[in-house]
Amino acid sequence: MKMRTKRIFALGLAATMAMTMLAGCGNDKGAIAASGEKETSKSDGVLTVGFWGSSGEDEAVKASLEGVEDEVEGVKEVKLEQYSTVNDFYDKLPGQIAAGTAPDIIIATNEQHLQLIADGALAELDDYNFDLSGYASNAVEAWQYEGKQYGIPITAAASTFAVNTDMWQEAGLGDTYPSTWDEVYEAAKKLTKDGVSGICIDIGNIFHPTQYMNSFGGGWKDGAGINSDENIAGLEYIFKMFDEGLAVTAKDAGMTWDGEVFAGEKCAMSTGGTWYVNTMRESAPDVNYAFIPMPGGNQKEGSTLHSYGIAVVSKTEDEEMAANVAYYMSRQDAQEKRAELIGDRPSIEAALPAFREANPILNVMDDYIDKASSFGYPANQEFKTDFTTALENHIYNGDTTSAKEILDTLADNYGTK
Amino acid sequence: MKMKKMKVKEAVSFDEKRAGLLLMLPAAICWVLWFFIPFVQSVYLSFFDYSYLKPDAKQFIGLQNYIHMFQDPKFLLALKNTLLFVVITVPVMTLISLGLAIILNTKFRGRGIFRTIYFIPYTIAGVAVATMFMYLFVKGGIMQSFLAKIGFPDVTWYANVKLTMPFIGILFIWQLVGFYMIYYLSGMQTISENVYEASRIDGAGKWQTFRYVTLPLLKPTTYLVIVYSIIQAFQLFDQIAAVTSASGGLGSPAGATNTLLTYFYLNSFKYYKVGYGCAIAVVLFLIILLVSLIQKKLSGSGEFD
Repeated sequence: MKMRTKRIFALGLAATMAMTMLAGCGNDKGAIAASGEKETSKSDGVLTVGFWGSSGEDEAVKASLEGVEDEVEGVKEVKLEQYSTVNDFYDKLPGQIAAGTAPDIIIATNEQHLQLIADGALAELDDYNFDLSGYASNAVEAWQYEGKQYGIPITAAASTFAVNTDMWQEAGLGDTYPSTWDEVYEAAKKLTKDGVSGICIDIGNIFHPTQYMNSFGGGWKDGAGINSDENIAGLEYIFKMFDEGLAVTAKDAGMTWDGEVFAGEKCAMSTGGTWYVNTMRESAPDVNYAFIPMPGGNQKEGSTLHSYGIAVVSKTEDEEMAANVAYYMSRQDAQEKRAELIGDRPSIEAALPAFREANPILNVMDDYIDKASSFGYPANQEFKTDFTTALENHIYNGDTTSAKEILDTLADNYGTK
Repeated sequence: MKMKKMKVKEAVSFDEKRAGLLLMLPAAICWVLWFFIPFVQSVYLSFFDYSYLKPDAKQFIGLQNYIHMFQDPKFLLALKNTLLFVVITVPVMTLISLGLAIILNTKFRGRGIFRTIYFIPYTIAGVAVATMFMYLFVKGGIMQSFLAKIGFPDVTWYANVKLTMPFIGILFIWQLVGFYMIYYLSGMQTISENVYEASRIDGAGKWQTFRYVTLPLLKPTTYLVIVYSIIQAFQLFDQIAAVTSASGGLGSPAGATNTLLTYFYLNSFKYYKVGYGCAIAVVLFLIILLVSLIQKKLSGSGEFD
């Protein structure tokens, strides 16, 4: 090949490769094709349910749909569209909505639902007058926005605080576990030794700092409470734990998430939840631990409510049918089956006895779940990145911007007050 | 006689052209459908305020996305990180791959095995390479412990704001150097032995032969290696995604891994600002095109000599 030809070839290659990247931006239809084939006509009684998760999740969704063709008028078939991860779900869903190929019904959590709701991607369910009286009221509220219902909760769990009881005893800390963050701080000083940190605070995921904000009596409140005094106190506490070398992040420990750090005994305490149970059972069956209520701070208390919900995508062709299927999927026996398969705590009170019996270690949350509040992140997802970046700047980069300054800036950019 | 020859040549040329066009057609159709149309669509969308969640609320805003981009500190950080990454990794990778090719172009026992060994990393998925390197560079990992002993900070490299991009750079070079080594090897093997013989007769030593024979004759290969590696460096994504996905997300820690491509991805698929994301993609496209044109100009004007 002549040099000139090679150059032309190379330039062509450069342009094509660069264009390939651009194609990723503009080709929403291509992304949809990759996520799976979909029926284009939905008026024939065929609906699709989209969700992410493991094979257990798949089984739970199938169980919730048993008998749906007989119980919900007009339904002929309900197909499943399973996304591999939560990121996969949220990356693909908007493109599918734009192209009109999104699932009719989605199962999501109350962590990232607000942007979908605020941008009109989810349908209001109030018109259908579903009886939600038997459902945990704060879980029902977690799926409301501006007084309107956008999802039906199928789980309701509160954050908990996990303590490695063996380490606790070895450190001579007695039989009483901490009830305030000040007590956690004192305990962490004694527990931090021999390569073990007192506490794991996984700042890479806003979920964890949020536990602190809520337990200090604050919370994001959909953007209305970003720079509250309680949140500032919570963030100052997180900084103190890192500044004094008492806390570790999952990344620093070379692990992917806090549960792995706790199971690997690289920390003695961590904020956790129902999802810890299976991890501990499978990864660390010999590690003894206890769940205790979230400690309080700032003479206040609070915890975070985690709730899976079923919502209807507003662009579905038959919204009423989809809403009825969503409500059917949230029934008591479906929640009981889900609890059995995945370990999720049901949102229907009547479904709880079996869960309590199967998961006695989680009964601790019964005492305070009524006070738990939703994550309440502002709708703009960029808020999470900016918050995490600010924390990482302090912890990994020695940035001295105060907690108040950080939260004031975030309130200016993302606040709704 | 002359006329007859020309007619035959033209007839062959026409058939060749037709055959060539026919053979190119399927690929050309796919290219138009999957790359060119989306490319035009991307450029078009870059002039709109557009979210996939609100497709009906698409609003024409002219150059606002582009104006905002150059006032956006996160975009400027991404641009700086990307340019630094390209400026550092491309020359290093080019030099190492050239060095390896020179060594492996000499005759010695086991040469084929070494060629294979150096090429293997290229065949491994970027995510797998990243995961493997994370084990090596985590605090207490083999490489991290060794580097800490010779004066590097005793920290997990990918959790450190100053070390995370060098970490990504190391794994990027490690993975691709074997690929470019093959480019150079093939380039070296096209150089005629007669040229080397002539230089030996003229009294050239090894260094002079390399400097005045091998290197100039490798100019087209070097041009390809540099252009291609620049594009790959600009399009770095998999490794960053693998390193940051578990905790912190793209750009973590503290924006240190924020590149043009990750920032484009965040805006388009995480924040749903598709118009702004497309504008970033257009700028990245223009940068790559510009760099390629400069490369072509330099190469053509003999700067490589």
